[in-house]
Amino acid sequence: MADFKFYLNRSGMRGAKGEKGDRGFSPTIVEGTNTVNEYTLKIVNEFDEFETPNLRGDNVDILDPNGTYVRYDHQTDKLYVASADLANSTDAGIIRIATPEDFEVFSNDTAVTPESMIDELHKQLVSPDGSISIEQNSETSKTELKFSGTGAINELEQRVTELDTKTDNIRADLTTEAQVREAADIQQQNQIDTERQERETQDASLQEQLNSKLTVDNIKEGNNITITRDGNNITINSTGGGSSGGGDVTSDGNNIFTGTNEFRGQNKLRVGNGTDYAIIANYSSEIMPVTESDIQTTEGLVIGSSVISTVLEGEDVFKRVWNTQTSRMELSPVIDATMVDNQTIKFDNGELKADLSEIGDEVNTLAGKVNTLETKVDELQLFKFPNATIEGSPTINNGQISNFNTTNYLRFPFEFKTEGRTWLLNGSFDTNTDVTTQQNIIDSSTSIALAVRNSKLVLALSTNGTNFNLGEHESTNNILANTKYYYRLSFSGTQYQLSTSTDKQEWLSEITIDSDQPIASKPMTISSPGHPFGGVINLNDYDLTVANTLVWQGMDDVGMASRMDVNASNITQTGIDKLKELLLGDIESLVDAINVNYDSNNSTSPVQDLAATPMMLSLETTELDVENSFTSDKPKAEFSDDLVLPTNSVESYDDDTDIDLGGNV
Amino acid sequence: MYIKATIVFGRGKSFSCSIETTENGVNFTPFDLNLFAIRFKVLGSPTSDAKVLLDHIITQNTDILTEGQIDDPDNGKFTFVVNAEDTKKLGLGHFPIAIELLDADTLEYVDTITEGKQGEEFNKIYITEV
Repeated sequence: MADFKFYLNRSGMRGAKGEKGDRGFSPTIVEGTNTVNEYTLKIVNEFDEFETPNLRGDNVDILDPNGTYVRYDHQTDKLYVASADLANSTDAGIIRIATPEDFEVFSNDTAVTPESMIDELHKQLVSPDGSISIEQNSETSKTELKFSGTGAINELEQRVTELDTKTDNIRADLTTEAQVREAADIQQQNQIDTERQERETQDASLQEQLNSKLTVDNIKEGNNITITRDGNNITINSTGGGSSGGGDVTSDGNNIFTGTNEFRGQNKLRVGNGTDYAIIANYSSEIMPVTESDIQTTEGLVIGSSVISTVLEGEDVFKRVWNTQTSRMELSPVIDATMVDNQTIKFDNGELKADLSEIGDEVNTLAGKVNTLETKVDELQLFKFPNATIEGSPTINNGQISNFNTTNYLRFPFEFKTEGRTWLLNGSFDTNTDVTTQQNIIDSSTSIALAVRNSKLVLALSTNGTNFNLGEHESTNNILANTKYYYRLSFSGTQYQLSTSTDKQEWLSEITIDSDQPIASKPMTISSPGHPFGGVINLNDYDLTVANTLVWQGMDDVGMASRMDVNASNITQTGIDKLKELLLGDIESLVDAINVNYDSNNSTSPVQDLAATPMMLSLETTELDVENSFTSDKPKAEFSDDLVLPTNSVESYDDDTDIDLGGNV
Repeated sequence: MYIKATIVFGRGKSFSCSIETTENGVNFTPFDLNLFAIRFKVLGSPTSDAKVLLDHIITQNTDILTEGQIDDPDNGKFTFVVNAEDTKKLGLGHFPIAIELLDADTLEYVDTITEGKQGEEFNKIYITEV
């Protein structure tokens, strides 16, 4: 059942207007509690009264009466009035502006404003040494720093002053030192001058003493020396001898060289007319024959042992002859008028002349024979012979070998022995129409085999000497018929290589075999009995180089073999000797054809005599004019007691005497 | 007749109500509340401009213990509550109340259940200490 029931639309008759009611009662309202946290009103009705609830709402606790901030307590969920927290290094808060007192205590919880900073800055800057004045400008409020020049500057000034003093002291010391040294130098110089004067005085005294020694009694004449005195001058003359150490040695009169004289060096003998001279080279035990390089004249030419001179006369051309009776080398004329045929060579007014007209035809004949001889010699030099042993009778034509068969082939003159060195074999072959059947170019039992077969070049190598252990290898390219091929077969130390060419310009690598083993040493043939080569092998193209040294050529220079009608199969040593004999006979007959016959006692031709006997040049003059002159201003000569100048002309020589005119006399 | 509900301060109390209609004052029919919500107000004075000291919207889904509820809408029955907290807020004394019908969907005012007149009786609650 409901506590209350409401009836809607329930209404009765409208009643009459009632009487005006009594005046109602108006409640009174008075203030109840009025505090910071609470405010209430008391309402007094006609019959009762009540007090309102706290009209201030939620209470705010006043924890700090002086606080001006309303704060919130998370724990109690209440508001309260308190002071704000101050800011510090870890927590945010309020901060106040720093005061001058804060600056004094270096406050860490106050803030500096620009104004406070400007006002306090000058108080916080200090100049310990007072060198800088710090003041705040009252007009601009800026802190001004002024350098007052004290402290450090004074110290600097003091140091500079000290350095100046030290510098002056050092300068004074140096000056003093210099003065002392200068004085010492002067003293030393004075000493030197004094000593020099003393020495000069001594030298003068010595000179005077020396001069006093140069008196007649002190300087004696020796052999061949004459001394003449004229005042202070002493003249020393020698009647012979010469000067030493270069310069001219001349003296008037005849000079005689006696005794054993030595004229060393290169000596020049001046002929009496003063223009021509001869040079006699050094010799050991006898006077050497004068040779072309030793003798020169202003005219003519001295050739070998013959002398051609326009001034020679019969008695002037001498030859050296040993006189067994006198045991001296004497000169005897080699050619005199009686020895000249006066036909080809004649004396004409004392001149030895050759009449070439007499021998003109003979010279022409000689020239012709010489030309023929030269041609034959050239032919001989060009002749070559196969440098191999010929088996059977293959056809040989200027080194081109053909007509090989089972009995016709060539043997290498040696076993192919390289001992592991690098080698290169050059060769060639001309194929014929058949390039199918095997035809050996080079063959050996077990060493190297090179053949044409089935249009290929086949190479077989053996390093063990037992079988072709390196196998058979075919060329890359085909071999054509009727074609000449050059080939190169080589060993590099690690590889065998075969190349071919048709023009010796462009080479094709045909076969390459890697191996560091040397070829077995076996006899080898060119062509072979078993598989004869059908074409032509040209030995002129063959050679073998081992370790870069040519050791064999297919064709060897034989020389005189062509003078005989020999062929490759019958040349022997006897035949070669015969060839030499014939050729030498040709030369001798040629020499005979140019000999000149003389109607003289000489059965032999002067040509032969000239060839056998050298001649010497003898000078016209028989005396040597040696001029000696000694004066005081010339280097003084050194005289030796052993010096003896010859007394006679130069007619004979002592074989044991060395003639030296270039050294000391 | 007017409501005069007494409530002990700090205790709270719920009151059930029913609404019937009549045409002739003889036959009464329960008022269907299915289309309505109830508004329970405690006023500061029995005037139209009085301050609303307490305001509960009561529907079929509100808490019957703390707010009140239209617990039997077919028969026009509902319950309004003045709970313990409400008494503390209001304090001691008489307080006029008003119960209004609201549209259930829009909560717009429809009609006032508790009519009072100026100078005359009005519905009220009385919060007492004991």
